[in-house]
Amino acid sequence: MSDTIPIPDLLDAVATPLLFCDRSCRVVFLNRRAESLIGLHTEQAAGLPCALVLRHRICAEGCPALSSGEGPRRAVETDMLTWTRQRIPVRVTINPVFGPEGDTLGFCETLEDLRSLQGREATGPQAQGFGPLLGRSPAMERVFEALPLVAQSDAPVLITGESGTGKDMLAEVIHQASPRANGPFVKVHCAALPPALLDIALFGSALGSAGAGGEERPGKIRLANQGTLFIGEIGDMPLPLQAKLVALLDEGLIRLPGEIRGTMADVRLIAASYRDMETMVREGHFREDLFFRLGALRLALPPLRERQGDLRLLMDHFLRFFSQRLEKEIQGFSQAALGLLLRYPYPGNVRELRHILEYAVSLCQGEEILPDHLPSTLTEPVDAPGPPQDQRPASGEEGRDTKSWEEAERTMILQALRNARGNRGRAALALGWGRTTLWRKMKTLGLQSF
Amino acid sequence: MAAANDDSPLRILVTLSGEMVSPRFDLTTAVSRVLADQDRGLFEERTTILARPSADLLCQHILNEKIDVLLCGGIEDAYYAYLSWKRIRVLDNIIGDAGEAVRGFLQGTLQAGDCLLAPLPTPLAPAFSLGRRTRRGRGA
Repeated sequence: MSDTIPIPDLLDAVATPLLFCDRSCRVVFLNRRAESLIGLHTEQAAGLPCALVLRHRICAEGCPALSSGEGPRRAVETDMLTWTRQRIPVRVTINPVFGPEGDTLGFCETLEDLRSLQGREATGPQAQGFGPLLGRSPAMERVFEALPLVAQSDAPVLITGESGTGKDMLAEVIHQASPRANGPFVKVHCAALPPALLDIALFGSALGSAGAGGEERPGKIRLANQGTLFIGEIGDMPLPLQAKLVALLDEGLIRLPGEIRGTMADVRLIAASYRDMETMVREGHFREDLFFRLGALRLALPPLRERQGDLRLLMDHFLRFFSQRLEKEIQGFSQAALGLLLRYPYPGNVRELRHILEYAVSLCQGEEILPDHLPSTLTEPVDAPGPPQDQRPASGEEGRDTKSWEEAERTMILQALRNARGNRGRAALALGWGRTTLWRKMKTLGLQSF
Repeated sequence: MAAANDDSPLRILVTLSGEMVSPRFDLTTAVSRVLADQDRGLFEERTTILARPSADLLCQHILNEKIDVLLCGGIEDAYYAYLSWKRIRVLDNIIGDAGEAVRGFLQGTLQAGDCLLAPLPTPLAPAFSLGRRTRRGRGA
């Protein structure tokens, strides 16, 4: 048995995306982190000019590797367009690779994904919250106090909270504040995929397997190697997959069908659920062993109605945010509008508040938000607030709050289109949105045919 | 060959970088608009130099030209979704000669992600090898 480590396996263990190319800048090898970042496998990229694989902005101005001799290069900040259609800011360092005779064999490009660094500037304790999470209420203070410790640990985390409380954002904040911040943050939502596809999405598939059409798929767990895997709505995960997840947490291994040894996966798991997990365990819908493993570190996000003092803080924040984005000069709320906003129970939590203020800022043409600018859901009588049973909205994740919001937004768009006689440019102008924003919202609401 | 409808020719736009499909939609400074129909095949080709590279301006140009099919390299998801919503068929991540991409499309053989580069000539120096991954290392 050989005890040497193949160089590609060794490079795959490096937490930085690396690309090797020959003297004529043709790709020779990508390590796993580079494959994950670029969205191409070594087998697909090998032999291609690296400018066509990486698609850096600086490559359009001339090859940085070939243009400056054979000395070590300085790092250059630029952006790249991945094969998954994402534009990502990166820092690129190119160094020559020398052979035993001192001759240049090629180049090694080190890629640093700057998204995490940009995010990190806004991560950490602040006067009004923690990173992008805002709040000064005692309930949120408890969460913020626990965050640094949770982030520094490598144990699995379970985040619970009603729909719209910010579970996804909290997971990303934990990742950004953790030692894994330079690694990938990969999300998967259990409710969005049928069980068979969820299995493949998470664990991948081997070449020739039936489920993935015979293709080899890496799976989100492998893509999250040396980073964090966020599993949303874990309460919706089927029991057989829960068993595979327990095995992953216990052994740190993932096995494709027919594979005996399995592959090591260095992944931190953060899971979230809006369901009452204890009840699910009691009723046999969720594995107790998985619940105990996930529940080692647990964070519960409070609903907005229990966050005393945060409502006004968030209202001012979203007002500023959307005013800036929509280029309006709104100074504040009228007393009547303020009263309506403060009295509303927000069953859809922060997400609903955000939607309401986006709507209000879109409609407002003056310097003050008036009751007329608010959705009718705020001016009509509503039921007393309270946590929905099982913390679950009536029809899946997007429940009553979202439905009512969508209806309001649909009405607003249709009215604007009617007033503009179907001219989308004028409708967008009247709504205070760009054409692209109007297009995106119409697409979301299924209004393309209007 | 698929046409927009029976009467009007198919309007194809290719993003250019020299003779090649440009690697990035947002950095494209030249485009080729091609007209083709069932009877005549490819019958008109016109190259336009853009005022400056801009994905927004290029989208507007594509809409103004009433393009049916876009052949391009990398494109951001927002623009891909926007153009698709405008009922423009987008074949992206194409690498290779622009003319060959158009011919491949008209023959019905071109797919998104295709690499049309001919087998590469011998590099200046032999490509070094790092060997192969072990089975255990395969995956991500």
